[in-house]
Amino acid sequence: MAGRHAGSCLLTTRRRDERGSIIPFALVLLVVLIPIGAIAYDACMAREQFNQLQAATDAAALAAATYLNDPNNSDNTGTAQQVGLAYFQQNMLQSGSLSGATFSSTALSDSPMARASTFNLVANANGTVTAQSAFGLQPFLLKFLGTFPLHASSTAGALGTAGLTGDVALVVDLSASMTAGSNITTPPHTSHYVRVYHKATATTPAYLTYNVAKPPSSYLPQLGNNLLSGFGLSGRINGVIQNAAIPDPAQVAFAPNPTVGSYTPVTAPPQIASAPELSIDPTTTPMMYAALNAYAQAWSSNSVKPAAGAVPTIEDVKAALLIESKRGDLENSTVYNSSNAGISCLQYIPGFSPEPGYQAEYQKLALTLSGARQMEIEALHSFIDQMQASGSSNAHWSVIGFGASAPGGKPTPPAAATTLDTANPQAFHFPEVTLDPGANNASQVEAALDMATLTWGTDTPEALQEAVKMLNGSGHTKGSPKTIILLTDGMPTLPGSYAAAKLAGQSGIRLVVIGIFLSNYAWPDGWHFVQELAKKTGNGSQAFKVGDGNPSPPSSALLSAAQGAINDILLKVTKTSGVVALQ
Amino acid sequence: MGSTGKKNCAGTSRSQSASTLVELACMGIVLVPVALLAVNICYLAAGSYINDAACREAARAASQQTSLDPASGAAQAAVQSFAVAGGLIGSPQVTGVVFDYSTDSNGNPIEIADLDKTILSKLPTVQVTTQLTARVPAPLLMGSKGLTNHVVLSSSYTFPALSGVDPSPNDTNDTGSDNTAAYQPTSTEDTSAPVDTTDSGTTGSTSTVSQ
Repeated sequence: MAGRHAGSCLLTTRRRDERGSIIPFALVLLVVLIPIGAIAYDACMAREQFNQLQAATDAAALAAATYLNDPNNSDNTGTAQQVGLAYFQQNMLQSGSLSGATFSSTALSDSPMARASTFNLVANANGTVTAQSAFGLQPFLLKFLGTFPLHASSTAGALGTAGLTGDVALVVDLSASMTAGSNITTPPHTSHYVRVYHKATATTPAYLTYNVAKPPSSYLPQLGNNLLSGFGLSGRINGVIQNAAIPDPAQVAFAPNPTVGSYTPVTAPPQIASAPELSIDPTTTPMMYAALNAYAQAWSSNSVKPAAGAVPTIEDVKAALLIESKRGDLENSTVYNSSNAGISCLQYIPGFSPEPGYQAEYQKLALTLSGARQMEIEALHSFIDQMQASGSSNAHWSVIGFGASAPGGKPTPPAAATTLDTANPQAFHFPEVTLDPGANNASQVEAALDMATLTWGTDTPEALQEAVKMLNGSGHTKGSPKTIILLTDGMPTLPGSYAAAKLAGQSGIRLVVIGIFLSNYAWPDGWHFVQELAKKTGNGSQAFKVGDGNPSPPSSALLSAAQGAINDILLKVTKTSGVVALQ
Repeated sequence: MGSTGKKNCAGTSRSQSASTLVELACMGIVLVPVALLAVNICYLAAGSYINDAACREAARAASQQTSLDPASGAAQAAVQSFAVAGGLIGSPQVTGVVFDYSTDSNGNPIEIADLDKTILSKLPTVQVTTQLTARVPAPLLMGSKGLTNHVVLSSSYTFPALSGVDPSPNDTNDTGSDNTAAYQPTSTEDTSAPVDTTDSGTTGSTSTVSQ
């Protein structure tokens, strides 16, 4: 033991006295650690400043790309640079503002002074925008050790593609409530009455009402005998009228008259100053235009004019029926309404043969009276036309109209579709144009929209499901964006819309939904509904509203304003959909 | 038992042990705060990074909207993905959304596509501010608050309103009768979520959501 102790003591005596050695060591350690910590801290701050600079540059690139995305601005690169710089300056960095940023063509390689910044933006020939920036860093701690010419630089790109791109499914509500603001109160093919309103002047509305399905029987035999011969139209129905010289329709108008029986006779010399409700146009409704003008021509050559309050003459009736024949209601009415089976006007008009295509012409014309529905269709027409005219859209169009059901969904419409003649469902037009990878289908979609008739019921979920199927089906162009544009006036009559919206979202589909609330039919629940639809779809989906539940039926002025609003919304939403950050 | 001379078996005297303790204490007075400060900085850097990234994504999401309410909703949805479960670093929260509709002299909303040199001072923008509260291990002296270990980190980004501007924004103080209320979370859902308290909804105004 003694020897071991002696050895231990020998070792310890060899040691130097280490008292006081820790403090110097710690001080040396601090001298090393503090600068290292300072560098680490400044590195963190520099990284954050770089991130902020990157975000500001991104904002600038996106803004400039959006600006250039407007075809009207495409040549104005100088302004785009200013736009980019303005948005760049809006942002802050941790250690300072970017509001003093100056334009520099060499921004990416600049070494600005501390807290100073430079910016540059280039619009490339391929349509992309590149923004570059530099910021002079100001180290928080290391600045005390001297000047550090550090700077952060950033670059960001964005691409603006004008117009709506990819596959687009228009989903159009054609429920009966879309007759809001109409001159008709029911879907046109469901009514025994087709009331045609003529407006002589703005202040003296006049109208002619007649019961097509049940015309005054006493007139009918004579009508049958005189319809063709009386106007000298025999042999002219098929084709000649359309090519005949047509007098100015402004020469003829209907005057207001008391209702007699089931129709209101015309008692004043017809003067059709204008008939805006009918939307009579030689291009869009050539047959109606020709018929009406033939009627006007006949009146102008007729020396016998009905006196005010007089019993309607056969000319009154046959003229009305002539017009109506061009609109289709002289057809066997069972085509559109089984309840009218057996009541065929044709039986009273021997030898009368409506022109080929008159059914479609009738339907088109009658639907122009359908208030909100017509406004909706016209807005879509305008939208598609503008997109096509821009020449920058590569959208592929499709359409699904829906009411009590949707095309492609249920094999037969449900019983709720009371307006449909179940004996002749093929005559019922739900518009449907499927996607075609090889064609944009714009004209087909527009033609289908014109024939979009109405039913009771709003099967929004089925329509959305069909749109999702279409966008995911064989008509989809691989890699193309998928968009559903839904126009509806309110609440569905069947459940499942939110599930369908989620399904769309899972398929990467963007939903743009416009709620049309020109009356209080579905207000405010409908607005809640469409917003929920957009939220549940995700993918940047958006909900918009037109109107705010006005308790009164929409006026023609409101309908017109709504049409413009829908068009504006669609253009606004779609024109920026292609702006993407490249980095 | 004097303080000098007598050595233990390790060869160190009691006086040496004592001096070591004193030195360690002295060293600790300097090094421990440095170490704690370093840990604090790590937490703050991490929190700042999360908050900054959340704010950037929130601003990006909000910039896709056309009015205040959907913008604030989008911003809140965006920061959800940055939520931090437990730990000392809190979750980022949207504390402010400003949707600047920027109107021209006629009161019409300005869009980016409409900008030219004469109105570049008016920009349709969406500014999103987020905050994150980080608890640091060592209390810090925070001005008037004195010593606190709760540090609030704030970040703000301004992005262009990329999708245009809703000409008729529905940003008013909603009664909850329509879906705008969906952007006003209840106190049980998210007390930090924004509530539209100030906006008049008038086109051309600057709408603000603040907490």
